Amino acid sequence: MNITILQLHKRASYEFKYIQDKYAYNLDNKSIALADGTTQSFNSEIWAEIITRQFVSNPTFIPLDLIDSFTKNAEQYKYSKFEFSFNPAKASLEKAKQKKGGTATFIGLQFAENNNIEILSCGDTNLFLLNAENKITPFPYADVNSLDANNHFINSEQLLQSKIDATFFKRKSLEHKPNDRIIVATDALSRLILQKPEIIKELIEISDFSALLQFCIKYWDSKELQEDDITAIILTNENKNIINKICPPEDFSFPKEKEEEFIPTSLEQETTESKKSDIQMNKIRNNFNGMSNDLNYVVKKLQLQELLLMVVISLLVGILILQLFLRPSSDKKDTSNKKIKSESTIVERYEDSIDELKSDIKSLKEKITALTNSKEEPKIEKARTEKVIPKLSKEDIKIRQKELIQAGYKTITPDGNWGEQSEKAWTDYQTKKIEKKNNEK
Amino acid sequence: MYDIRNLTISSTNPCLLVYLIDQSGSMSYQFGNALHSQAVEVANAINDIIYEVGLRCIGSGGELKNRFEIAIIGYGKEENAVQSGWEGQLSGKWVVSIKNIFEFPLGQDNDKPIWVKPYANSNTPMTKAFENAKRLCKDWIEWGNHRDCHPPIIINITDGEATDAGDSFYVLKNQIEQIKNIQTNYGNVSILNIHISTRAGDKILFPSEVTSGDKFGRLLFEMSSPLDDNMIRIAQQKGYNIQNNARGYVFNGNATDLINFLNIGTPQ
Repeated sequence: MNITILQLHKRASYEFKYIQDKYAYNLDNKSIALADGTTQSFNSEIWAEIITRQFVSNPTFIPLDLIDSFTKNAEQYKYSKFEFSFNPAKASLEKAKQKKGGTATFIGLQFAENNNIEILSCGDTNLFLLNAENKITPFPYADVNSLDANNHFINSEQLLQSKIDATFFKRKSLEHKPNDRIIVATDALSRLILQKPEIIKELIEISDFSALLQFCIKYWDSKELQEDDITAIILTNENKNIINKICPPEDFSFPKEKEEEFIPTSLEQETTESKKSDIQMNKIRNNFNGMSNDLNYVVKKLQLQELLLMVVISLLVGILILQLFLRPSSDKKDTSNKKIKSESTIVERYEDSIDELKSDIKSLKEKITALTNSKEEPKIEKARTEKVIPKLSKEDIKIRQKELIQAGYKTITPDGNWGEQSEKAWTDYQTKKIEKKNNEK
Repeated sequence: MYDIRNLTISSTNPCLLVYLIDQSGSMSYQFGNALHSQAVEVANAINDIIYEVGLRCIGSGGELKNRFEIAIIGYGKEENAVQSGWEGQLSGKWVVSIKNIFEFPLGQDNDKPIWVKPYANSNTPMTKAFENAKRLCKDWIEWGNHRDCHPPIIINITDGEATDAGDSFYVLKNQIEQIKNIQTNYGNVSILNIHISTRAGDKILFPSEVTSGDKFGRLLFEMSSPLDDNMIRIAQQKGYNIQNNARGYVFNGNATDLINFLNIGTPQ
């Protein structure tokens, strides 16, 4: 069996790994299957892969048998684990899609004995037999309208609910010759071939990826080929097994389109007019906001000042309270005043008495001094006379001796000599004289 | 050359969905036999549809592809006023990519995100809402490669009684005709109308003619774009009995009908 597989993903998928067309072949039993997972269903590419592998592992062309085997796969598919998106809105979509199950078209074929090909199909994936005379025999759809009218798909949930029956499938045995080519294509390419059969020659001549890319882009850009995943499997029944896969290299991807937000200019103009007043309103609002900010600032400042004032007042009050606590009470004050007054009178009295005492003492002192003076003077005189007898003239001696004799000093004689006896008498006479004077005072 | 059947809505070729939501006072009336108001029904429907769009955009690795960009235009929340219906962190934006929509929901309800709350306040300036939608679609088509994208789809959800339609609805009809002439390389802008009512039990889906009902119902039917072949094919696949000249008009449809309406209007 000679198999050439041409595959290219749609530009909107960017990378080949997102292609939803899946195929499988089995060289031992000469079978091949192709399924096109629908964009709207949940993980449709996985479902497409499951059913194609199931078919080639055990090809059957009895629809009910195929439905049975696919139903088993549907259970396995339903309970496979899946990580939902973190975005709740997206996760809600994924869960809803999961409930709807996987959906795919399907076509399976097998080279049988007697140059026959057995075919079983469900959906709009089509087969074209191209003979040596370039005559094309399509199956199951011979024109675009009937292909577009197709309403059958293999859905995993419908399988589980037994809603898929034999009427969903179209079966055929096609006779072929050794040099005939069989082309199986998914819907977009099938539609192009049905509309423009001559392109089939161009298609079978594609030998590498760049030629395939050129082919697809040419027909995509001319709008003749639908922007969809493109798959064509070209088969010839040969004894040798040759597999030729033409698909994008790993580093190939279509460029991502720029995500530009569409802005309706005419509607925006109208809203701009209303926005003019909005702008004015914004200005006013801004002014108000500025004023309110200033006001807030002032209020805050005032609050701060008020706070400081309160602190000062509370400190003063505290000090006063402390003073009140530390100072004696008012009653105590009165008594203390009285006490002070009484004390001061006492003091005054004492001071008076002290003054009196002082004056007494003074007088006493004076008396004492007077007394002590009178007693001590003779001693001094005596001492003086003992030590020094003043040298007097004879006349002074005669005057003193005369005075002493008149005063009654009998020991004294008027001889004109002044000795120790005379000095003593003279001192005695003087002391008595002073005392007499003091007493008179 | 530009065959819509060959067009896949993708992050490189996104599609714009414009939802016009009636938020007028009459939306406070009960919806059919339901216990809730028409405004609640509309908010639920919009939230469900956004969620459904998200399901069509999330990849296997949890990455949301920007396949759709969504505008929500509310009318009647204030008298004669039209405004963006996005709230919360998306407030004031006209068009938001599906990726950003799922980054910023308003909250969750029964494990599902919500973006829109019900309002039923003032009159019904529906003409003004369509006029805004027209300008939005024109601008969007002129942006980047949007000429090569699926044409925008306008989905109007209302109880039908426009207060600024003019005599014989002339002004409103004029706006509708102008919108229908706007186009990308893949076709013209579509207008779909979802008419909700206090009446119960008479659901009408994608009719080819409306003879019964009031003049507002017939007006909404006439305003609605005919379903193209592709839409009819998808609708038939969904199990709807659709005639060839069917229009994008639904009367008293439930959330499932609205979601199918979305799937019919936009290629898979």
